[in-house]
Amino acid sequence: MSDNAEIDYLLEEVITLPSMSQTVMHLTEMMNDPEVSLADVGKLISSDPSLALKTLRIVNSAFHGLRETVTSVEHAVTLLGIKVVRNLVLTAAVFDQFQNGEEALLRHSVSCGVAMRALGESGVATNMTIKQPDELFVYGLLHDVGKIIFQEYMPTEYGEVRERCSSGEISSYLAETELIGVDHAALGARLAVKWKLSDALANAIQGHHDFSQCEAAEYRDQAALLCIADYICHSAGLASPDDATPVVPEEAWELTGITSAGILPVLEKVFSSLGDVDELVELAS
Amino acid sequence: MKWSTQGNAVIGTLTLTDGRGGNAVIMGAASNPKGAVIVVKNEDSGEPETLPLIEGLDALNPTDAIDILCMQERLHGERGLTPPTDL
Repeated sequence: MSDNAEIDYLLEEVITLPSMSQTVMHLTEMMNDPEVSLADVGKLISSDPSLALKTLRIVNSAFHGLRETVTSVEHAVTLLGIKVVRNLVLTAAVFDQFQNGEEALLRHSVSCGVAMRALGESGVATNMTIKQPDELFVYGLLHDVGKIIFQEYMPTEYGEVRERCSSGEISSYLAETELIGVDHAALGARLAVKWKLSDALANAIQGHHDFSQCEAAEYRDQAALLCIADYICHSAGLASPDDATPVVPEEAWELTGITSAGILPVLEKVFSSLGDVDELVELAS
Repeated sequence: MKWSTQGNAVIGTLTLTDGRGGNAVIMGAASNPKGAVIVVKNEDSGEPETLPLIEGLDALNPTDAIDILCMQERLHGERGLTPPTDL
C-alpha cells in the first residue's frame, strides 16, 4: 500500500481528524478578501467568546511583549493587524485541540514555535525571505500535531512506537512508518490541509524530517527551518518525549543560509523566551 | 555530540568543518569568555590549541554549535533549562 493509500485508509477507518473552529475557518476565508475591514474581523472573533478570551490572553502574554494591555479583540486587530491576530486566533484554537495532549509534547511544540520565531526574527536565514516571523510560531506549534492524533486514536499502536523509540536509536517518524504505515509528519500535513492552512505550512510539516516529502520543492527551505528548530529544542532539553535526536541534513543549512555564527543570536532569543514557554503552556492546558 | 565529564569540565567530541577532530570543553557560563572553549591539535606542532567558543564558532558545524551552546546554558545558565540527567 502506498503512503497515500495507507493514510487514506487510516483516515477512513481509524482516525477522525479534529475540526478547526468555524471562527478560524471563516477568518481564513476573510483573509483572502481584499475588501475585509478590521471591524469585520474584530466582530467575527468576538462572536466566539471563548476563543476571543483565549486570544486576548495570548496577546497579553509576555511572549508578545506589548507595552499596553489589550482589552478587546477590536483593539488587538487595530494594534497588531489582521494577519498577526489571525495567527493568534489560530494559536488559541490549536491550544484548545491540545487540551487532552501530553504536557511534555505540548511543551516541545510551544518551544519549537518559539525557536521558529527566533530563527525568523533574527534574520540569520539569509537564503530565505521571511516576511512575517511571528507566523512561524504556528509552524513549530503544529509540527508534531500528528503525534497527538496518533495518541488519541491509536494509543496501543502509538505506545509501541514510543517503546521502540525510547532507546533513542530510531526516530519516531521511521518507527511510525514501520509500525503504523504512516508517520506523524504526513498525518499533520493532512490536518493542515483540512484546516485550510497555507500550502507552505502543510509542506513544512510534511517535510520536517525528510525534505523530499514536501510536495512542492519551493517549500523545502521552510521544512529545513522547522527541522533546525526541532533540533534546537532537542539539544536544549525540550525534546519531544521518547524520540531520538532529529538528524539535520547538510542541505538544511544550504537551504536556509544559517551558519554556526548565526546560531548564537537565535539561541539567545530562545533561552530568554523560556519563561514565555511556561506561560504559553499554562495558557494551553 | 557525545559528552563526558572530567572533574568540573564537561567535554564533547567534535569534528571541525576542516575535518580536524577536537573537543568542546565547558567549564562555566556564557558570560565568561573562557566558559566554553574548543581544543584542537595544531597541525604543525601537534600541540593542543585552545580557542574561546565565540571565536571558534565559524570553525564548527552548526549542529555542534547548537549542542555546545545549549549544553553550556543547561549546565551553567540561569534561564531555566533542565540540566542533562545522563552525565
